[in-house]
Amino acid sequence: MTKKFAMSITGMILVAFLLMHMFGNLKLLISGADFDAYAHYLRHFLEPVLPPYFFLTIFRLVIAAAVLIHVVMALHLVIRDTVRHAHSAGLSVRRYTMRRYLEGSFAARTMIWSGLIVLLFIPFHLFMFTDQIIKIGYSDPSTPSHLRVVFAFQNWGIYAIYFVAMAAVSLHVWHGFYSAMCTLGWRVGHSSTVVIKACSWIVAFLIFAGFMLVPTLIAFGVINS
Amino acid sequence: MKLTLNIWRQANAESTGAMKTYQIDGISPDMSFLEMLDQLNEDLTEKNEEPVAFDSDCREGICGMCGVVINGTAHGRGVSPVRTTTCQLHMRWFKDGDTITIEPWKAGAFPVVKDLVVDRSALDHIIEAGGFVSVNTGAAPDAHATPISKFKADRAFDAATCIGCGACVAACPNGSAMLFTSAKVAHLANLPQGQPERKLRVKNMMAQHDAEGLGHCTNIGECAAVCPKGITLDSITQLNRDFIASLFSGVGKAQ
Repeated sequence: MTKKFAMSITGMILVAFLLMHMFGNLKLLISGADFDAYAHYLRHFLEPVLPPYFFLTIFRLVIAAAVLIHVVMALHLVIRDTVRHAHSAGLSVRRYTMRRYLEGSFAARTMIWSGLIVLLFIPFHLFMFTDQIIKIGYSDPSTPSHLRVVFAFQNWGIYAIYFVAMAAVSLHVWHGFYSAMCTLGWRVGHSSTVVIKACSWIVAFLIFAGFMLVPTLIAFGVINS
Repeated sequence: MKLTLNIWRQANAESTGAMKTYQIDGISPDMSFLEMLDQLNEDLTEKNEEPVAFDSDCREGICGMCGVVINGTAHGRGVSPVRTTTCQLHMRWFKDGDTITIEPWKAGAFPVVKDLVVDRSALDHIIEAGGFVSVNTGAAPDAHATPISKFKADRAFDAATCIGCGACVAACPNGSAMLFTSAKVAHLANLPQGQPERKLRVKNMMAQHDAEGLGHCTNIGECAAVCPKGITLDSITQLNRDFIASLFSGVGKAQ
């Protein structure tokens, strides 16, 4: 059960990170130069009090640790349950020949799958925009950040990958936010359930709409280089 | 009514089970689901076939003994318009010519004993792990000797209505008994008599829950949807809160 608390807390840290990341992306709506300045400032946060890259490195370590703990705990819990089901006499992983769900939403039952989609997406995303191992539509590594974003989303294949990944992460957060609140004991009655459910809708919508807004505008040519 | 029944047949815990189809005729809409199975067993006995084994006792929805998955929902909750146990489900909710799929509770912690009978000892072990309640013995205390607020008394009573049928485990995609355990925890945690051992109890019961091979709770809500007694997810919140509080106390640690 402590594993679930660890998942709740790391999950909430990751939701907070996603909201911040989403907010930063929206700088591209103001101008490309603004976006580049933001990207530059992340690397030189609180300078000269902190040395260059100090904040970013700490920040990356915290996020990486949160992802690692979240994933390891999730795999541990899921494998433990499915293996136990499979090993007990006469039971397959698919337990019933006929199954009808009365309450549980699609998102709630597919957390592991939406989670795995996001997990596969993270290295792709980092290789593309952080490490520039995958270069879409340019070849010079010193191309400004905002242009790399614009070139990437002018490609419909990249747009489709991001669309699927953002749909998965929104579904994941929609149930994950609610579930984390429940696990941490915040859901105490009817009114708190309504508030938590409303918040999970808002967070999931913000993440999907906020992240997909800029790529959509680029893909349809509203924002261009 | 004429019905087609798909029933899980399994000779014992070691054998692999399979679905088997039976035809049954002459079912009255006023029969209970278990009476329908009784009639099937009479037919099977006359034909010299092995009757279908299923659990039942009080047949009035208070003992928690009966329980099968009917058409994909525990206790046939998806068929019935009201919360029900299998014994209180009536054949009037089915139509002539319906096909009914009947399976036992299936969860890693509930091995099948025979056909529709499963071993739910895991739930008993959780209760045992809860331990004792410190109360003074002797003459019955005056009814007003221990004050308790109406709100808490109601919560304790609502939780205490759990009959331990195991439908929550059967319905949970993770095979978790969190709803059952939380009902038992919430029952005593809301009463003054349950306070001295409150934190140790929740720790021990959760440890036993996990040791039994029951799954973890992902707050899906299938358990509360099928619960014949209407135990809500609020009791799981109580369990979570008490468990977190117990982690910050020294209870259960070696002295």
